[in-house]
Amino acid sequence: MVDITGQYMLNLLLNGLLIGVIYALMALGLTLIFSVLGIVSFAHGEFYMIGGYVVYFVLQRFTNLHPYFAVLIAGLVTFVIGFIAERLLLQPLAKGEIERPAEYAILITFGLAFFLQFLMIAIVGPFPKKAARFFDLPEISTDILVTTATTLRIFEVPLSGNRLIAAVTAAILISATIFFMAKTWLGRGLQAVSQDRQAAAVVGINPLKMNTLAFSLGTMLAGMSGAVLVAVFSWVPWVGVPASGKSFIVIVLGGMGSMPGAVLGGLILGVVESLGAGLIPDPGRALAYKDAIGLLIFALVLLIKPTGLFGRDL
Amino acid sequence: MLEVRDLYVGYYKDLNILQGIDIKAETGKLTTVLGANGVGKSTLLKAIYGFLKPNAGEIYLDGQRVDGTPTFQLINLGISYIPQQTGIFRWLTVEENIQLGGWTFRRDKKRLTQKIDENYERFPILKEKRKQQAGELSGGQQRMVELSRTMMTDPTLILVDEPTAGLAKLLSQEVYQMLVDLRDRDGLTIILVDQEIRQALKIADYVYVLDLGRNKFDGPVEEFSDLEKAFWA
Amino acid sequence: MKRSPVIWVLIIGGIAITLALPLILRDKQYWLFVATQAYFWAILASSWALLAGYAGQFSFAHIALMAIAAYFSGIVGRDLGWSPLSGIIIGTLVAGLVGLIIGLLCLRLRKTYLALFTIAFAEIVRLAINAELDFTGGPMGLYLEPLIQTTSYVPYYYLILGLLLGSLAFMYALANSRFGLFFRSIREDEEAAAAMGVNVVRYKIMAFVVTAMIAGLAGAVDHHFIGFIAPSELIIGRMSLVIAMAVIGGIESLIGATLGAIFIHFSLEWLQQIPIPAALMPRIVEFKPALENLGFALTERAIQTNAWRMVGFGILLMVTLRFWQNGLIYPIIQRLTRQEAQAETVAKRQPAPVEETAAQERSEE
Repeated sequence: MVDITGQYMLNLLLNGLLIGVIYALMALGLTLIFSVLGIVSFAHGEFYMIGGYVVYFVLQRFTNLHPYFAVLIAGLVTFVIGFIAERLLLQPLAKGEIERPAEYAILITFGLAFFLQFLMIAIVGPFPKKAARFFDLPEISTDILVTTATTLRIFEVPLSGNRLIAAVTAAILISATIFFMAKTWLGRGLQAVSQDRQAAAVVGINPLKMNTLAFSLGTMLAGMSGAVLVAVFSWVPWVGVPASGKSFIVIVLGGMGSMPGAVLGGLILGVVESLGAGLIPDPGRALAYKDAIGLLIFALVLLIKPTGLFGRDL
Repeated sequence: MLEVRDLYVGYYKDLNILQGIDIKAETGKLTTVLGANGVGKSTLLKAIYGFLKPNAGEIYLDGQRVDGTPTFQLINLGISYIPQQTGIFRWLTVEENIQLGGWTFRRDKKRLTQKIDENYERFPILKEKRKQQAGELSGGQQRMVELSRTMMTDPTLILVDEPTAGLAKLLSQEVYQMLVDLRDRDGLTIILVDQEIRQALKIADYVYVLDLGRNKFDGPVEEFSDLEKAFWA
Repeated sequence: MKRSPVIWVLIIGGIAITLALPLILRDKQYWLFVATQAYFWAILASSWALLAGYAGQFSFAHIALMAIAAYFSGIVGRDLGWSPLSGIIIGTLVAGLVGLIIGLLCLRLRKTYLALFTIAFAEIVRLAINAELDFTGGPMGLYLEPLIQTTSYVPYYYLILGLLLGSLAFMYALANSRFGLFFRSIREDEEAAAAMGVNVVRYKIMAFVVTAMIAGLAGAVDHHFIGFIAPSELIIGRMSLVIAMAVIGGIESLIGATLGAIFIHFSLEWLQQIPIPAALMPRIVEFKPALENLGFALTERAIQTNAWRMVGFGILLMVTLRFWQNGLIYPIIQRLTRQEAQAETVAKRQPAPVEETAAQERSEE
């Protein structure tokens, strides 16, 4: 039986927030894809998985490279794979060449996930890999904040330095994405297509190109979330399966297609999971049911309010 | 001048809603297409604008064949389209909406600002509300946003589909006045599809009447006024 | 529907070969085992095709329902001392009940949402089985009593073949009755079906219950034959395999899905270098000690070589979906058996016009 104190709760809360930021980044990609293409990609987690592997191998090969470069390379690689996948598999859908669009979208992305997973097993093998930590924390020692190279204590609450770095990186990427969507022409073009496809075409935006862009950007965001996490968790080719699951939960919770929803939903899921697992008395069960908590929320939201927190009536 | 020749359009290959339509819209004139509900008026506009692929027939713009051109390229030919239900971007601001009208020349900052200012002059109310989400505006103001966005590229021809459906009477008058202004002041060619026959006839130059996917009558509006009673009494 | 005599030749020939297989494979017991498992997968794939292809309900909970039945049967046998037969019956009924609940919960959910919900359900079931050690044995798995006391594969071969033929006959009868017609009308257009007086709710739920019970029955029987079940059987990879089988065979055809399953199961076994059950691949690390105890060298190299065949099937699956939405096997059967191929198939229907589809699709969801 764990001792539930304010300290302990704060610890759970902060750790939940740290992981929640990563969930938010992943879900941002999935919600972007949904808002423009109108489909849920069941292969989202596989791009996350690939992103992680890219960082692992790049850092292994070029040991002196700044980890952030590796993250950018991972983003580039997953962007390109997403681009090709959209052109080959999803473009016919947007062109109206497919008889049963909804079924096709589910099955083809599912098939893509299957393919990518086994491709990675075949290429990199099934045994776990883990990247070295990106960098050391600066050593600080004050009343509130004490850090060492790998850990950090704030108000006596210990946090993992690795997770903190991952979360901060993810937060930067989230901000960049939001800026891109709100302030650039391409971002507004994507928003326009997601809000009224026909009107977007009337003003001269090519919806098919925006589809490709949205999907590639979405897969890039998944790839980058994997890229920042490969130093935190050990990596296997099926690591994307639960990651897909988390992104589904987040976008359903936040409202399919809503970007603020994805960010808030990610944070909520991170905290709820952390608190839930921390407060289940039996530690064995707590670990096993940690994922079930999210899934339960997911099922409930789907049943009670399928539009989620910020969902638009599509 | 836009010319539609012997156009067959339908949602399925073997089921045509339009069965051999011929339309000519003279430059600088307002041509209206009338007909009962379901005769394919909106389908005609959708086909011209590339949302539906014609099963047969041709469409010419100033002698150049344009059917089969993807919708998003038509703006470059100077054709624009205002759909029946307002096609604004509801969660973007008024200014962002209007700005997106300049998508095709987005790198030309100077032209953008100039065109946006022109539109604010046309509809000063939009300048006041430029930071508001377009979806929060009233129906009439949403039409203004849409029209402003359309005018960003200086189109030479616009297709308008029942612009006053669902609007209050006073607002309808305003919308028709806007169309008249566009023709008289800006010299636009307009094809107007409408259910409001009386209103459409007041502003039109040339009239087409469709019946069950075919041409039933066409002629200058003066001719039509005499026949009006016979048709619609 | 005019059928040529060819179909009878095929049916009788096919049944004759399957019946005679234990004689043909007398010296190759392993392949008889493979055949038995192929029939088990065929039951899963064809019942999923009935649910997804006929009734349009893209459920990803099929494997979970199968496993629920097997677990129930095993648990009542272990804890209450029930016989395997009564265990199988209770397991099937429980699967039907869970199918009923899913059907009720999912009434309002369309396509993508249904898929997401059933994936979540399947995952919760897997996590719960993993966690509830006292009941399920957790990750270590659960042992089940044999249904038939025998050391030979032959009785089980006939038993599972019988199950396959029985469930196919039942599903064909169902699909060709007015139920089948209603299933299809719901899939085509739910609102229109409802407007025409089809009791959408009833038939949707019925599709869930019937297919859940078929999957459950097959799962319980097959696991009393295998003698063991573990939560790793519920991973999404196994569900992918069922879907791949149905899609490659022909999602709108029961016999297509059946043959697709048999074809894929045999080719996976034939292609593999070391006998790791294909769908367990993603959990290979967990299984490493167990498999090594059984004497299988589990080098990274071997696993990687092995994974390539799944890559091949992934490509086959995507290509099939992209270019042959009727599947690869079903069109062949059609050509062989129908003089006038006037079947109402995917290819016959016209695609919706450009750019409309995506918009419509979204407004539906």
